[in-house]
Amino acid sequence: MDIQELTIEQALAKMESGEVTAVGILDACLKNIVDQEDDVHAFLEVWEKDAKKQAKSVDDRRANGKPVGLLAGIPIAVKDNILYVDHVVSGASKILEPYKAAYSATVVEKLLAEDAVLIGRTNCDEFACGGSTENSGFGPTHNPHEPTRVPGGSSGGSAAAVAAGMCLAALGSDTGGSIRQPASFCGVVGLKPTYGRVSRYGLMSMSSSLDQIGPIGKNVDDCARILNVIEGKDDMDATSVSHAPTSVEAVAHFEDSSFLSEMTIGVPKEFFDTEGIDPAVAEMVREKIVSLETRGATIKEISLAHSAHALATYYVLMPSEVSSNTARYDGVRYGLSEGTSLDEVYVKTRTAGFGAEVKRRILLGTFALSEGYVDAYYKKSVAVRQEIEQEFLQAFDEVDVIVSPTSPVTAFKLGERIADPITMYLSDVYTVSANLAGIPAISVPCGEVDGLPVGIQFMTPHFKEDRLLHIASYI
Amino acid sequence: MSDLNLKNIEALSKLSLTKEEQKAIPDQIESILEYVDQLQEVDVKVEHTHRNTLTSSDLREDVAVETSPEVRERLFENMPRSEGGYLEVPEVFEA
Repeated sequence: MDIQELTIEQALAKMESGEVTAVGILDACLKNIVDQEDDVHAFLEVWEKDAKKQAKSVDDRRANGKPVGLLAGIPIAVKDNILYVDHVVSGASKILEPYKAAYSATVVEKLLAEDAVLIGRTNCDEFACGGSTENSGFGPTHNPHEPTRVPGGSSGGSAAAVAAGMCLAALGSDTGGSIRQPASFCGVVGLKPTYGRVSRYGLMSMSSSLDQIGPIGKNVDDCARILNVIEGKDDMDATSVSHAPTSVEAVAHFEDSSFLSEMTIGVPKEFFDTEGIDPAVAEMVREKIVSLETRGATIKEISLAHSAHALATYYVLMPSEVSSNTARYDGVRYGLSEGTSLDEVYVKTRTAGFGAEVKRRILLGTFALSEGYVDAYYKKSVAVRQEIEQEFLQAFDEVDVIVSPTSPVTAFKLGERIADPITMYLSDVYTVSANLAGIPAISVPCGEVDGLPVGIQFMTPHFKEDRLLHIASYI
Repeated sequence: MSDLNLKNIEALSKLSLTKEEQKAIPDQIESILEYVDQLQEVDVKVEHTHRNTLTSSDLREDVAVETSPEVRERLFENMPRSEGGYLEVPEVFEA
């Protein structure tokens, strides 16, 4: 069975008809893990035993004509910053060893309630801090397309696992592009939902005003199916919001030509003349925009002047929130604990447990929030963020959807950018705006440059995921 | 532009950088600060406000919910030190 070609829709149909079993699909994924994991290192742990039990249970119920859930028998991988009760979870950080989740994230509960088979936890940058998965405390993940290159990040393990056929789909988290950029680098689809659409209960907090959990899948329909399961208001996350459910049936109807002719697509000129953009990437995305126009869409050039400052805004706000959120790793509550006196426990544990990028962000955030600098840095960036959100809302008065490249470059080489944070951060230049504005965004593969995947990104107004998924299905 | 007092920031962050990190990190932070200094040029019409879009209907009833014994047990298993059903913390006030 070729897992790399198998969609969730096809897998469900094949299991319903008895052509394959959930155990058979799981075994095919496990075989791909055995064959490729040495080169890719997508997983920190494969839950083989649990997964087999889950798959067997689905097969038994199907065989006995009993009802099964919407994702019954679909192997899904989970980023290692999402909690699954009684399972080790580390945020790819040494500071949490040997933490075992005391409860499950709401998204995990929801996947299990629909009989998904959770196959393992995937590698990521430590506490989601990074854009290449090189900041994992447990070694980097490699891009399945070209092992000398990064898979992107921070959800690099999830994107690589999907691309390598080690699972049918995966969960990631996206604070500034951490679902979309690795999806783009690995040639798969990644969706960051609207802020508030999916509960973050049980997600390790990184930057709480920006974090969202979302799906990574092989196609748009797979992402729609998973979003439909994991979304919804949750009493355990006060920032989650009630909304209409994702309409899985409404998306991915290629023959529905009236949809495109009703769409006005905004092309922000600032997103195409960024310094450092690979001209071949820009060209490929432009070709796709022309193709949408040919099929009936109206294309309109727009300006998002404040978004030119989105990355700078992000690199003040995010580290500020990281410095607060990582205060919980203190050597007292859980995980690593070194030293004896209280202050010594704090300093020794944090110094030994955190990696370089997390330390950098804590120091930067602490600085941005410190006396004498908080107005110039933190408060200013909050104000610019509000301008960026306003600018998007105004743009959406004129256009239905905004399009851009997902990343200015294709997957870069391991080690190439790790010593220079600014160059590393620039690969997120197109993705951070959606987090700052709280709007949904999706990355879809749109071709290859020198054998490496390129992603095209769409953004829509808050809670317009149906429109987002629908337009993305035309790529 | 900032004059970065790394020692002070380290102390506030409860971190103690290695010699190697002390060499690399200040320059890296300076370069990030240089980059984000572009924000000072941005003309913002809105004043910074604390965003709080939550309404009371978003919030749970203000009632205590008992943690289940299983969850409690798991929380304790993760604690580096505990005693008699309490989390043990090193002395806060020195004798």
